[in-house]
Order: sequence, then C-alpha cells, then structure tokens
Amino acid sequence: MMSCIIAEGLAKAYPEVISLTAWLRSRGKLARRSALRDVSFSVRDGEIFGILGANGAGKTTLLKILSTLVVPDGGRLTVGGRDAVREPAVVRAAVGLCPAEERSFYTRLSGRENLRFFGRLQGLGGRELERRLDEAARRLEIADRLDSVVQGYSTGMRQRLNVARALLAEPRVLILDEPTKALDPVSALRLRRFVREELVGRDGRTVVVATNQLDEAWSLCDRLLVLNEGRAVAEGTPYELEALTPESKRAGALESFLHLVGGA
Amino acid sequence: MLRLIYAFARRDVMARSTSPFSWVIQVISMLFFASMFFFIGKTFDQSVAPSLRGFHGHYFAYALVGLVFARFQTVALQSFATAIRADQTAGTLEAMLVTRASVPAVVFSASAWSFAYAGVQVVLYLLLGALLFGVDLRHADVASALLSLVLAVAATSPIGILVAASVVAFRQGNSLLSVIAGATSLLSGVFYPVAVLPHALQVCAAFLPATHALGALRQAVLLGAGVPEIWPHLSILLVFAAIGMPLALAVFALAVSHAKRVGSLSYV
Repeated sequence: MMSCIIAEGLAKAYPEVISLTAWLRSRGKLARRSALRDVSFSVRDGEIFGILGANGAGKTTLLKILSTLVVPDGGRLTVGGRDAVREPAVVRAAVGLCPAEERSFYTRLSGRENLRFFGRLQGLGGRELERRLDEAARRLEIADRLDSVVQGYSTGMRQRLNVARALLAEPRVLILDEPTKALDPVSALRLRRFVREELVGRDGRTVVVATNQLDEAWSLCDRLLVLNEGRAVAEGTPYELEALTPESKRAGALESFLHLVGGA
Repeated sequence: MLRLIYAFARRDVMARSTSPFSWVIQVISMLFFASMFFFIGKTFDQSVAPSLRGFHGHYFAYALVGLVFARFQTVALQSFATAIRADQTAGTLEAMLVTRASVPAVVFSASAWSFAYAGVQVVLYLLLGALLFGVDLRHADVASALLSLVLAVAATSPIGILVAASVVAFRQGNSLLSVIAGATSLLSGVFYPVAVLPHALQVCAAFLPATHALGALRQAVLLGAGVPEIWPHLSILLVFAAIGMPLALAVFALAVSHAKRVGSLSYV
C-alpha cells in the first residue's frame, strides 16, 4: 500500500513567551520549549492512523504541522508527495481538520449557515455547495437539526457538525483531534463506527486521529504512533505494540502504553 | 475573492439578524450622536469661528463630515485586526485557516464587508443630517467625495494592516489602536479646524493622511469642489497609499510567517 503521509525527523520548539516586548527584549531570541523531537512516521493510504500520547506529548503540534498551521523547525512532511512547508495551499486542499475546540462554530448561526460559510471559504458555491452540504448532513445524521442555531446543539451534535464541515471539501486525509473527548460512550461509539465504516470503508479516505484514550486507540486505529514528551517511542499496530511489552507485563492496552512511555 | 467577501457579508448579516434590535439601536445611537453635534453647533453658531467661515459658518455641517470620515477611519484602522481577534477569541479562526482561503484573503475579505457596512452608516448619517438637521448637501460633488473617501481608506489602511500584523504575530496591538485613533482625532481636524491648533501641532497634522482626507472631503461635500480643486489633498493621499500599502502588506506577510513558526496563528 502507498504511503499517503511521510514525516521525516520532524522537530518543533516553541518560544516560552511570544509577547512583542519579550521578543524585542530578547532581540528575537526567546527561550524555547521543545514540542517535537526527531519524529518520523508514515501513514498508508486508506488506513486509520492514531497518534497516541498523554497531554503535552506533542499530538496537537503534529496535527498543526499536518494542517499547515505551524511550520516545523526541522525535518520534512509530505502529504500525497507534496511538501507541507513549500506547498501549504496544495496540502491544505488535501487535508481536512476537525479541531478539538468545541467552540469552532458561530453559535448564533444555524448549522446550515455555518457549513455554507466554511464551504465558501473552501471555494465552493451554488448548487455544488448545497449538494455536498446536504450529503454531509445526511451522512452524519444531523439533517433534521441543521436549520437550528448551533447554540442549542449538544456536544455530540457539534462534533458531528465538525466532521460534516471537514467533509465539505472532500479531503483525501481527514484529521480528527481528540474526536470523542467530550462525548458520552454511545455517541463516541457511533462516531468511531462512522469513521471506520463510512470514511474509510466507503470513501476510502485516510484518517489520522490524535487521542489520549487507550480504548479508542486500540479499537479504532489500524496503526499507532506513540508520542512521549515530543519523541516517537513506538509505531505499529496495537498487536505489535503489545508485543513490545515484556510478557510478564502484558495485560492490555494500558500496560503496553505505560511500558512504551516508561511509566511502568 | 468575491466569494469570500460574500461569505463574510452573509455571515455578519445573518449574525446581526438574530438580534434585529441591534440595527434599531445603532440608528438611534447615530441619531443621538448627530443631535449632540447639532446642539453644540447651535451653541456656537452665533459667534462663528473665523476658521469655519470657509464652510458657510455652520459647525454642524463641518462636524457631520468629520463624523462620516471618523466612521471610515475607525474601520480602516480597526477592521483588519478585529477580523483576526474576533475569530481568535470565538475559536473559529483555526477552522478558517485550514480551508483553502489564505490568511491575507480571509483578513481582507472580512474587512471588505466592514467597509461596506461603514458605507451604509455614512449614508445614514448624511441622510439624518440633511433631513432632520437641515444640512445643505445639494451642491455636494458626489464623485470627488467618493474618490476622497476611497483614497482616504487606501492611505489610512496601512496603519490598520500593521496593527493586524502585530495581532497575528504577537496577539497584541489593540491598545496601540486607541493611541493612533486618539492622536488622529486630536490632530487631523475631525471635529474642529486644524487652524485652531498650536503651530507645532499643525505641522504634525500635515503629516497625517487623515488631515488631507478631511480637507478633501469637506470641500467636496460642503462646497461642491471637484477633483482639480482638491487635487493637492488627493495627491498627498495617493503618496501615503503608494508607500504605505506595499510596506504594510510585506510586514503582514512576515507576521503570518512568524506566527506559523512560533505557533501563535490559531489560538488566543
């Protein structure tokens, strides 16, 4: 199977503070905090690739580099063979991001108006926009509430609207940042099923999921990249990751994860 | 670009239409504001200041043009930074920036709608002035007034774009706006003629685009002056725009690149 995303030696460090006065005082050289160190991995076409790590492990930074919101300090990332730093517009067109931020909609507008707005920013318009909008709403089962204002949506509804928005541009790669973080178990299960059966099974898209939930990582993802303090500590299928754990400690996902990140 | 401008315009109209009273409240506050200047004018019209004689001695008409200009200047200074800051705090900026629209396209489209909305407010102010307070606009040269406004916006916007660059790069800059707006209001003759300022401040005023914009606008609206008569003002505005705009756009591009490096682009 072809690799859709290839990352080689990605590194990123953020300045500790980014205020104008601090920047001027330091003459442009602020103290830096490392977020990613020499991270390499590859994502195959049509797979669900998980980025697993505790809070602060570097997952969000990696997703922001993937969606061209952040430029890496070192290394290289390509999506479909195109360089994310040199050709950010091409990469953005291939990638759809569902941010973890629950407030990413205009709450006084309806779901439909929100989708129309973001659809237009994707360069869509007219009948094509309406067709894609209706199809995404139908598939995410939000069509009946689409004309209500987002303010009244439940967390689960907003998360499905989030996925519908990302689908409008029909991206080759869909990035989900902690998609079930605030969902109840039933909604989480439905969303995971949608990702597995519809996005990958039916559409053949590649999905990258950042999560800190072990059950989600183990049940949803084909392969996983485990991050710890900005470093990639393991990559493989859940089965392969468990095999890295000494047999005496092999009792499930938690034990494997703790072993990989050096927590046990 | 037109599709983007339409998207932002529709978003803002829809958001405002959810609270229809906001339109009514805005018109009422404009009426109060215009009335205040009308009565200030009435207080002093009996003893006409020599510097106002060139404008038929009516302070209200003079101030009305100042109000109109101030509305556009506020948009030119604030709209670029506001476009970013509002979506940063609402949490919607990241979702916008991962679309195919580039950062400058997003910022300028959001601002284009603000300018259009300011245009509607300006027409309302002039209508209120003419219909309720008797300002004589029959001799106004509409073409040269419009040209003055366009050049005023082009000459003032670079400052707004530089402030937006500061917001993008450092998430700061809004406080700078109030200083710039205050200095401009003080020096450029928005509500009183520059001639009443001390000589040193008059010299400073000559270096502000707003001073020349107001000079051109007042002559066009109140005295019916055509383009040849206000050309000295317009040519200075052109110079400000020709130097300021490319410079501001270059700084803005640097700011976006800096924000992508330090990771400040999409969060508050």
